[in-house]
Amino acid sequence: MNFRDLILENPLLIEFKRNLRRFFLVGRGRKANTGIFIMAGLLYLFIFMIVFAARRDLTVSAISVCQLALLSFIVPAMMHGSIAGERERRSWDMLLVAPISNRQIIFGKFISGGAMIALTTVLFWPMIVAIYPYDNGAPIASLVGQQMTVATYGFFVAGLSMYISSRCHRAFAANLIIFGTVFVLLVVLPMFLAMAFTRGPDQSVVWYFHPFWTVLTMNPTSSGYDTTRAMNSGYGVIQSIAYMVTAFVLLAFAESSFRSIDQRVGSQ
Amino acid sequence: MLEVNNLFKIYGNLTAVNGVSFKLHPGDVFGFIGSNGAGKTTTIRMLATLLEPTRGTASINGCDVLSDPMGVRRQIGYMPDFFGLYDDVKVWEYLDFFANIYEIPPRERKTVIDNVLELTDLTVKRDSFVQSLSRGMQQRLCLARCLVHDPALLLLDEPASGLDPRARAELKELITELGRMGKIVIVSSHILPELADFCNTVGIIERGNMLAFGPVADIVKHIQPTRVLSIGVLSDSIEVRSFLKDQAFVLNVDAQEDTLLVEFEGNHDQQADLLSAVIKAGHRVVTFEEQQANLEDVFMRLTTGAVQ
Repeated sequence: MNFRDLILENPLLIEFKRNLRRFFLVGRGRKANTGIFIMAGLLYLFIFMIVFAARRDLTVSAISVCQLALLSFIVPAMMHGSIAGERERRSWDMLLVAPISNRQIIFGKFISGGAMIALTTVLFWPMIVAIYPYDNGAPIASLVGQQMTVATYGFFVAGLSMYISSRCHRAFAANLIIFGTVFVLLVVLPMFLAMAFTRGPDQSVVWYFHPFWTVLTMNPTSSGYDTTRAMNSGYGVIQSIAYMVTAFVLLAFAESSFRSIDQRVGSQ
Repeated sequence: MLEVNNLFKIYGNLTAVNGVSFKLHPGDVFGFIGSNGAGKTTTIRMLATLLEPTRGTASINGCDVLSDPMGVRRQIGYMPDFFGLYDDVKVWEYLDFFANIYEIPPRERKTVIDNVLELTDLTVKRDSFVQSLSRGMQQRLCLARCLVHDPALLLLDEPASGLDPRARAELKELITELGRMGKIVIVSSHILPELADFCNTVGIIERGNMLAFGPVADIVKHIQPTRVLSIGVLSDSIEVRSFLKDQAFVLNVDAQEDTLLVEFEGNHDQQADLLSAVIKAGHRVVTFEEQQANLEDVFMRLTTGAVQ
């Protein structure tokens, strides 16, 4: 299995086209899509105007936090059905009997989802460009670090979504479990650890790898900012590596789950 | 050639498939018959590499389902009993997607897609979205997908379910044509008379056991070695009955209103002699025909209706 089969010429990249059509195809016979598209466009324009008007009072981190929050909802909503949905609508068997490896299926779907994550991330860049000149003292490294953290966090959630989806037979159940897991990781677990341990929160591993913490430590105007902390967070590099490694581990688990869930005969 | 040897699928205490064995050659159209839960779909799914056999082997042209599943997948086309297609793709894109998976070179894909669309009579729907197709058309598209890579073996699990009579007739023609093209076709269905029309081999399975396998005529002959002649008479049927009982090769005679059912062990010549004798004896015969046992009779005779 080489890079070309896995990434460049993976037939499953058709998923990206399907996603684009599902969300962005407008016109006759797509009234609901057209309506949603127009509303979303207007909403985006409205938010952009607010951000532009308040550009002197906002920081880049505020946008990054919004990106993280949005990805926490959008990625599970987009990827929960990647495998469970196929099982549910009975298109899965036809894919499994085709001479395509589990790895190609998983990577094809992951890359297609990843492209949508990238698109979502990039949508916020005009706002960042509008704010950045007024975000006094924010080094370019913090800006890059924040965006890297945001994107890799998105990939982590995508990996988590695919793993859970690969273990479920119903897309709705997968969606609930993914949202539940994200909620536990981002809210419940840090709260529990903060209560259980009295040491400073930034010393906790959970806090260290919490994307919102990572992004905010890089914000020069936030009360939690200082140069040491920004340096300690490594401008998100360690976190980003951790997110990507975890995403790939989850994808590897997803790949191996096929056999136990579908009782499929092994493939390479 | 497809070779299935002593195939088992066991789930805990339940033996879904119990040592099924058979061989099929290119051009064979095999009707797989059984009640719901008999083990047809499980067997087909094992052949399609979707289920791992507990024991036994199955191979298509030398590729074993366990040791070389990718080799098997390249040679089979599988149409499940229930299936879904991808939304938001056009008919040609759907076929192109599978052609890509089956590693058909890009420059050949258009021709291949056009050919399978023509074969399945979907050319006019080439640029339609898959979700806009009717059930029958989706069924044909699924079959077109199975044919994209010119497979040696086609596994069609209840392909006629949910189709209207016209679509069924068209499907029947298509399957017959595929058999003529030299493919091995395995069709599972509940509609037995239809299977008898286009299958040259059938297998009857119940509770995971293959009860009968072979050409339809052989199986019929096996379960009914004697002929049943139906004779309609205008004369006194009691008199004709006693006349028939005294004739050579007649084993038994039953009367059903104006028709007499004669169990006869002679050949066609002797059958003609019998007709001639009845007429010569002055009995007025209005109908004289051999009752052919059909697949349904065979199925009812062999199976008990028990499920697991």
